[in-house]
Amino acid sequence: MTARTEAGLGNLFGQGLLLAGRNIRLNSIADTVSTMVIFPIIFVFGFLALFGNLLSVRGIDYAQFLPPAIVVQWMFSVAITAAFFAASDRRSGMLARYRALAINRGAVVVGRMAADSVRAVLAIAVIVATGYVAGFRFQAGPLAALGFVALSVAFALTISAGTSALGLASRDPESVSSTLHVIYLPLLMVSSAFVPADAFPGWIEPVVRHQPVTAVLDALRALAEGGPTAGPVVKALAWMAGLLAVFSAAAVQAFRRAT
Amino acid sequence: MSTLAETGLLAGRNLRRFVKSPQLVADSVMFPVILLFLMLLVFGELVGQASRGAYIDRLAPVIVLFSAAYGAVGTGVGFFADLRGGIADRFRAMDIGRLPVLAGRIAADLARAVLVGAFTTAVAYAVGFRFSQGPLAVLAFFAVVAMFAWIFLWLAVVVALSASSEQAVSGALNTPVTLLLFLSSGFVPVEQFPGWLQPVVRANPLSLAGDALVGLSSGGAVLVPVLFTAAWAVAATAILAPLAVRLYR
Repeated sequence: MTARTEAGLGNLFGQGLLLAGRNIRLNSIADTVSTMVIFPIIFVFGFLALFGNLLSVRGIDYAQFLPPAIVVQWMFSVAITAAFFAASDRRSGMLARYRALAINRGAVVVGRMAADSVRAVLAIAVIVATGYVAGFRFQAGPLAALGFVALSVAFALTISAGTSALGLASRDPESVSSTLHVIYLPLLMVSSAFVPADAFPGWIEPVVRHQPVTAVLDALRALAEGGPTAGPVVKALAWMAGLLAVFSAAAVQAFRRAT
Repeated sequence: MSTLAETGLLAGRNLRRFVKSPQLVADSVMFPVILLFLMLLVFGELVGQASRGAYIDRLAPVIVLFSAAYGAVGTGVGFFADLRGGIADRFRAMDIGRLPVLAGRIAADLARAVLVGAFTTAVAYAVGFRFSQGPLAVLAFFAVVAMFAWIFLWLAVVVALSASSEQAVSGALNTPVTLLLFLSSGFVPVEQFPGWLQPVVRANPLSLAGDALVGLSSGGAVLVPVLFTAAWAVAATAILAPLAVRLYR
């Protein structure tokens, strides 16, 4: 028999929010102000100081070019933290406890996603504010700016599904996050994040142009700068839909198997 | 037992713990190598056009230094775990000095930094990095790496001794290490920085040690950057070592 507290949308979201609160409180102990606030600032100004001059020679306004890249970097970081907590919830037995409770199963997922979204929005706010100081501007109006935030959060949630699958499959939070760092670094760097695709050696340019992180970055830059946005946004959404399908299937599998 | 023998024993313990953890070895070896290839790929063309000489001549030493500094974060976290895990209390109860516990940790991680550096430069040979200044310069190269690591290891020990949680240790160490990396002449020549930042970039120990390493591997000024790096090391020792010993008591 199913308890009254298990079924229904009301339970799903009510309990989901409750769990999100728990996840956020856990996060705020673990990652200090430094990772959420100081680090994005260091990265924006650090990359600007390093490569601003080099790229302005090529006619690129780096203050406008860079913030979307830092946003994407932090979306990865949100997803890696999600994996860390998925693995520690499994190791500490919290996951098993959730299963034993008369709660909606989906609420665990909703709680995770809501907590990740809060972290993502916070990071975006810090990075965009820092970007504004450096010279970044949303040039295509408030609607496009909202689209920028929504697309970034959607990207964070998409990869969180994948990283959480890995986190749930493991019991070791530290090794999951160090493995994920090794995967994410090449994905981010071999994209148009920090330098445009044509600054790469010719043989790797096709890879840079046609990988999902570049697609998301192109869409974010289009939303920030204006110009033709539909094409890049559709391409990014298509990539994310595909990835989400694979990742969420994997996450559901891992969630079922995790004990 | 003498302080030296005790230090050696404790350093041996720490090194064995490192070597026996495949995770740690993979992390500390893989990270610099991945970073080396990625930086070369992403920024090689861009920076190569703006600076003299091949980018790898400059990049390989910087990656070695960065991984030494970054390795110190691991030192801090590991030492913090020792302090909280009870082994430090066990050492206190034993008939050994206070200093060897600190020195053993630092000696082991110095060895680790040099080993990781040797591995990184060996890999960098595949993409064009060369030692062209003779065998003595190679030895001096790794001596500078150790000197540079020394600064950060004492910092890591002090942070571990005064922090309240593991996250606080890595947070407090990651921030200065990352800042130092960005504000160094390692990745791009110092002339590429905004004018007001250039003095900071020049005084950065990572820039100075980087210049010394470039001089010792592919040629260039050696004496002045080595002296400045040594000055940093002396200053760090004078301030941080007594502080660490006091905090440990």
